[in-house]
Amino acid sequence: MSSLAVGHRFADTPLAILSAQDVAAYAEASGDHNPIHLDEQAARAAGLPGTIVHGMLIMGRLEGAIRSWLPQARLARLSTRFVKPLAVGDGIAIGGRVVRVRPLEDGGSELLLRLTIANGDGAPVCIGEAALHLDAEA
Amino acid sequence: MAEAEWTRIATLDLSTSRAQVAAFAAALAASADPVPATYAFTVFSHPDVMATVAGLATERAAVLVHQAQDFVYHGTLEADRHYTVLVDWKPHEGRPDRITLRGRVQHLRGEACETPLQEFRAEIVLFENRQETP
Repeated sequence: MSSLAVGHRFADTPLAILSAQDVAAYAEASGDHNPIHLDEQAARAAGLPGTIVHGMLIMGRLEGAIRSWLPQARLARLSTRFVKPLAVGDGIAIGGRVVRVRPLEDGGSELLLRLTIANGDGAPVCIGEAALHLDAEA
Repeated sequence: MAEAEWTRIATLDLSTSRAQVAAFAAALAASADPVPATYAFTVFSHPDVMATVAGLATERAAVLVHQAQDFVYHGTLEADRHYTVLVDWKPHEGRPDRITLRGRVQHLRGEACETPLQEFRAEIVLFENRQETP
């Protein structure tokens, strides 16, 4: 079983700013050129306050945070829901805590993490859960 | 309310060429090894998928905004491979302004498996601008 107990809280990641350049690079690499991410005028015309960061760019950063906390774990499930858009140029800080630990048939364990992503003001922009599998400890 | 039926959009090729994966990982400030878990999601940017969802958005004069995502991983993607991904969509039960896109990554070598290697879904809002235009 994992030595991480229910209630364990991982250190929040430092605030990472997601700039227009970061968003443009993600658009290029992912092929998602939706103008609400890239074009201020188009975003405003759509009724948004301005350009917003790709949800999947935020998800990718979330995966990075999980891997930094638990590099030996295998990601089994990940689900997230955005509660508000993140403006381009704003930042994210990611937090996580263990809410369930259960044994697996192979002797390993599954950790269920509750995840939160906050913007630069500390307001939540995304919540989620991840299930991670850990091998049996030697 | 009965569950809505899935409508097939396309069967797509997903390349995990090292160059493409490295560019994707760099955009996330992440390592390219292993292939990032969200990499397969890029099939939703394929022109066939975009044409379908853009058509749905245009009917409502809306833009597309991701609301939620869900991934299940039975295995990671290997670099320098070609995977087949089945992509389909269905209307959101009870929310006419939303659709769900689904991608299912098939195992390599055409292995007949009921369980895909990876399955991912995106709930997408067809976001209508209800503000007065100046």
